[in-house]
Amino acid sequence: MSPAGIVLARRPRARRFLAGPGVPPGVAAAALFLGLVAVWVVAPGLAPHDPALIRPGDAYQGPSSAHLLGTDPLGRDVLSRLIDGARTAVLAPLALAAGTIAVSTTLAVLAGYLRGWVDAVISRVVDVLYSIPALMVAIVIVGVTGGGFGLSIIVLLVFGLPANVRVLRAAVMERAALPYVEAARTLGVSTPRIMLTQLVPAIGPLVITSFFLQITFAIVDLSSLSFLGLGVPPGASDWGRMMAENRATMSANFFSTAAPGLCLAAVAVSANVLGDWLYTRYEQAGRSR
Amino acid sequence: MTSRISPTALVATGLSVRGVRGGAPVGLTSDVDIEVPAGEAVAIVGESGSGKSLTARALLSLLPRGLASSGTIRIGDRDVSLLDDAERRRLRGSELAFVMQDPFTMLNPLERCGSQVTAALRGPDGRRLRKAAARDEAVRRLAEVGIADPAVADRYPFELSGGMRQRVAIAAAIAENPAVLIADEPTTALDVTTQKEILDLLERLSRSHRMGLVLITHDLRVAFSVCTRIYVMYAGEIVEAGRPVDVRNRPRHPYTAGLLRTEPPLDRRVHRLARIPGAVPAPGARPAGCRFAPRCGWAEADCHDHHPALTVLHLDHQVRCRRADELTEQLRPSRTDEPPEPAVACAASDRALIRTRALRRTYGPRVAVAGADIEVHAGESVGLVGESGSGKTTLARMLVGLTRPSSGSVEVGGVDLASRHLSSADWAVVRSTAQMAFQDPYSTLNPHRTIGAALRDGLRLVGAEDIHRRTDELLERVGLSGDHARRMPAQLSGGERQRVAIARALARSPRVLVCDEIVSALDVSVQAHILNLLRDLQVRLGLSLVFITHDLAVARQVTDRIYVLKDGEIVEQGATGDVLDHPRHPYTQRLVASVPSPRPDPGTELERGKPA
Amino acid sequence: MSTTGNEAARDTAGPATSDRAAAAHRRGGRSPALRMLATRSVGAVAVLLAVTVVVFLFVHLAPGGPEQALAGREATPEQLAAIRARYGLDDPLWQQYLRYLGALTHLDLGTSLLRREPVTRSIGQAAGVTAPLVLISWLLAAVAGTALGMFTALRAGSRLDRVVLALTVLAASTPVFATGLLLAWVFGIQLDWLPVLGAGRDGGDRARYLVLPILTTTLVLLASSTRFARVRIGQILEEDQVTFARARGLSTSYVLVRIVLRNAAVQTITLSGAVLIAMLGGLVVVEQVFALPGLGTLLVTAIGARDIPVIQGVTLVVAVAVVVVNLVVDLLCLAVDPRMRRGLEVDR
Repeated sequence: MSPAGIVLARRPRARRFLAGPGVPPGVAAAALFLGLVAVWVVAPGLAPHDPALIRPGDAYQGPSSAHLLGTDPLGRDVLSRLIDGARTAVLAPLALAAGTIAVSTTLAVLAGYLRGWVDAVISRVVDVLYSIPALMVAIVIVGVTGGGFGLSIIVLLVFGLPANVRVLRAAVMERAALPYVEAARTLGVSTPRIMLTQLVPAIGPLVITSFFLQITFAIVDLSSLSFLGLGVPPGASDWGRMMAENRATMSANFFSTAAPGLCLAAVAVSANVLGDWLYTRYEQAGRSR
Repeated sequence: MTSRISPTALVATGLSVRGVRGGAPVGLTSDVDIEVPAGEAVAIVGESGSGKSLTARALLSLLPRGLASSGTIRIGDRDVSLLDDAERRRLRGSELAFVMQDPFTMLNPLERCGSQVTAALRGPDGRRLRKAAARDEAVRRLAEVGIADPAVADRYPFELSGGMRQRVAIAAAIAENPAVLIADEPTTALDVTTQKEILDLLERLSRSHRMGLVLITHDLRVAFSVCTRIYVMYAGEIVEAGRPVDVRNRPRHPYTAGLLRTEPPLDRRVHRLARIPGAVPAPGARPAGCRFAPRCGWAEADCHDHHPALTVLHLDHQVRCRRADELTEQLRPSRTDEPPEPAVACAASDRALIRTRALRRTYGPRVAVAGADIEVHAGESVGLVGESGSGKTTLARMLVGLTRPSSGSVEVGGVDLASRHLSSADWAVVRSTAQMAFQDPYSTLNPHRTIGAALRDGLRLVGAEDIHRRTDELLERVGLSGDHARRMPAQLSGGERQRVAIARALARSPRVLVCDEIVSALDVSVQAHILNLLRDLQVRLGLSLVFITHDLAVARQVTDRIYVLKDGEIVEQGATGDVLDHPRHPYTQRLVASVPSPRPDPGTELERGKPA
Repeated sequence: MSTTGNEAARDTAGPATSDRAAAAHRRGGRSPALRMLATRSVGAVAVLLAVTVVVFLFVHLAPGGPEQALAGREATPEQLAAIRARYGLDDPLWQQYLRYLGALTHLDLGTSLLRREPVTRSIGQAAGVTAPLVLISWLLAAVAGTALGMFTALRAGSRLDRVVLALTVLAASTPVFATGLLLAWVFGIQLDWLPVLGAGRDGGDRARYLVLPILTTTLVLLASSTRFARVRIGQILEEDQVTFARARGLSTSYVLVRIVLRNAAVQTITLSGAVLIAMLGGLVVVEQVFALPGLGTLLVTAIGARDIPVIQGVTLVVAVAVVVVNLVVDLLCLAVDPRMRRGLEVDR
């Protein structure tokens, strides 16, 4: 349809799925659920019982008015442990994802805009990291060194970089060749300023989706580690750990395993859905024509 | 009267395309009637938003998802509208063929050209051709479109030039000897010289194969050069139809007349390019009366209230205008009467603002610019003209420091950009001497920043005091208003964005503005606005222009001197009028000759060629 | 203030890519593909060597040093000294490394401290469980994902498209152990159709035990392969080449197979390689959920018992697998895309 004198190659945009007027119900549900978990994070005092209190007499109970989600094999209240575990379940992936994306964005902008040896170094490192199975390495490193939660986060952060740096760097390179960046250079705008005021906003939508996707990955990876008994200390009311501890007695109290599993999946899905939606909104705001 | 006798290959009656926007049905095109005689070419001409491409898609039953068409289409003596989907599919390729705009995306990059050409062919037994037979057939078909080298059949598309790919695509499209070929802007992506070859090829094929050709184009010159009938579309409907001689010499619709006037002439520089105010209305926002009325200088109250019908004037000239009879004289192109503007006697100041010596740029083994000597003086407008790959853009980029020279010198405001060490004071001199505006209006502004933010970048760097007032001033200088500063680029039209891009460059108060193909992506009516603006700025601010373009007619309008580039070398230079009127270098001669010119009057052709 | 610093660097961007390809073309003589293959193979060998160094150093990084790692935690000082002498731990590090490499060439990965058997034997047995699990789920996910992606891309925006999208988001976001436990609970415990713990005996019995783990792994892989195929195929379907083919009356099967699948192939192959590698960690978890005696379980047990030789062995095997997968991915891409054979850059 464009009668342009010279064809301007315009890459066909992948159709976004969650487009539509107003807030879709899926997004509302996701936001609502994340809100609930946020309340648990800020106010662990909401827990009806002491999450660490062991009462062998109450073990293996199903749901009741005293224990809404029943108890685990040690007689601890599942709901209280769920609320108490929200902090590690949510804050750690959040911090991990924020760290991963912050570092990735910085590296991507540097490599994609400066090019030259900076790009060569960053890209090579990223290439090598990319072909390393992250979770596997985390299992080995954390396992062999006996390192704790902090080490798991650092290892996962490093191995979370390559995929994000690649995507973001490609986006930066595409934008860096566009006239608006070249115009800024011609005007004499300084390099750091071009990076901050032109490139970062331009890849903003991508950074946002990457962040939310990364939350999802972080939840999956961190909880997998704790499911294997790595990272979090024994006894902590971590959702992944709860599932590993309670799975053998699932038939006695289904909820002791299902509830943390459901919560994990719901947080991860919500982050994914919300990220996708924000991306669509931001993208459309800047969409031409 | 051969056109009367030729059997019609395709007739479309009342063809309309509808879509849904924001939940409500919207008419995109309405009641398009088209007749295509066998062996002849007709053109559908219009700017973007006219619905010409949708009409092509509707003819092929290849509308994008969510759009539907109505009306009748007859091919030969078959009514296509009565066929089901499978039968329509069988019709495509065998009866109706289609060629698209971009030769770089039309072919499958992973399949050899030969097998793409013969993919649709079946042997007499209804089976796919055997390998050897298919290759022979491919070679034969490629020869038909002017590719003599049989090895091309074994090449992949990415190994061929744009023109060659377009030929391969045409061969693939007409492999089954269809009755009608629909070509949607088939030459827009190509260089002028290649464009002419492809147009000639299409015309030749349509004659030799007795094939009706529907040429969709935005370029009236292209339409006049090959077609025997022109349909002008505006805002989803045909506003005028007729023989090219009539449409060109006696346009009866104000829009057609406007288009003809906004088209810059190649042979002379006009005082001021005519313009059409406003923009094409979007589907859904079209006026109830005449759709052109809000932009029409002759519109009366009735025009706004009543939607005019397409009426036959004489012969086969039709027009959709209530006042067609009264306006005959006013609409006649007055160009010949208009005095050509004398070339501005360039006050060649002694000192050049920009001077390059033996300027060279290579990319690995490829030479982009091979030793260019150019000068730009204060207040003059200099053109860099050439086809894609001629090095004109690389040269322009070196003038503003976006690309570093491999050797030679570029002095901008006395600073040599080729030297190794440039202080920030040197850069400040360069920045305030030369600034640049770019080609693509859709990427020239950051989609996530306001117009004001883009302009303030430059103003801050010159330490302007009252930045917000200066922003408003800049916008007004390029014909926009101060409240554009708060808008996002997505809210602006292509022409408005190019104005902002010019304003942004002016923020540093440069003495030279380098314009890289800044109008090539715009519709002609918008292009005229920008070209006039540039001429104003040149006069009012004493600004020098370096104008890069592939379009000689545009160069004629805005430049005083031109440099013609070919493969990185300047092959000819001089005053624009001299070079274009009396080209000396064979390449320049070829460039000038490739600009589409109207075909000879069908009357004379009839007498000479085909006795009735 | 000025952009002088990176002016030169920026210059190498832009139109240089095609030139670089052209230059590569000339340097490589007639076949840039062979050149690329050679580079990749050399690279692969280099990576493997680097991995052996890292793996070799594991012993020295472990708490308590190598002798403790080799002798176990309850070793007496005399035992430790004996170990040092026997393994030559007092020799310079590079000599020890060369000895380690020498042993590797004889496929000698040492002896498991826990099981008191050659590491190669432990790994061989475990691989018998892991290999079918990985390969079958991977193949299933790649084929079904592409098919599902194409099916939904052809019906873009339909209810089916949206349901499949929602399911892929769900499957990709749910931790694999949660998926596994859910499947085990439903099919193993509630319905009692399939065994949920262990690997069974050989043959058909093992197949029954592998159904649920394979299902779990496939579901997770399927999520990413479907979504990827949906997006990529959706893009291709909107490209001019598809419209042009349809305008020539070419059949749907021609469009889907010769254009869509072929054009999606390079990215699909590259992605499934990356997914396979990323999945290795998840595999450890799946094996834990279903108590499968595969490589993952071997590794986790070895980590728990500080059985360093086994950890080294498994790590090495995984590294080899990763390198092989990457090499195969490169080869397949070269076979599919003529542009890559000519040394041109292609978006992967």
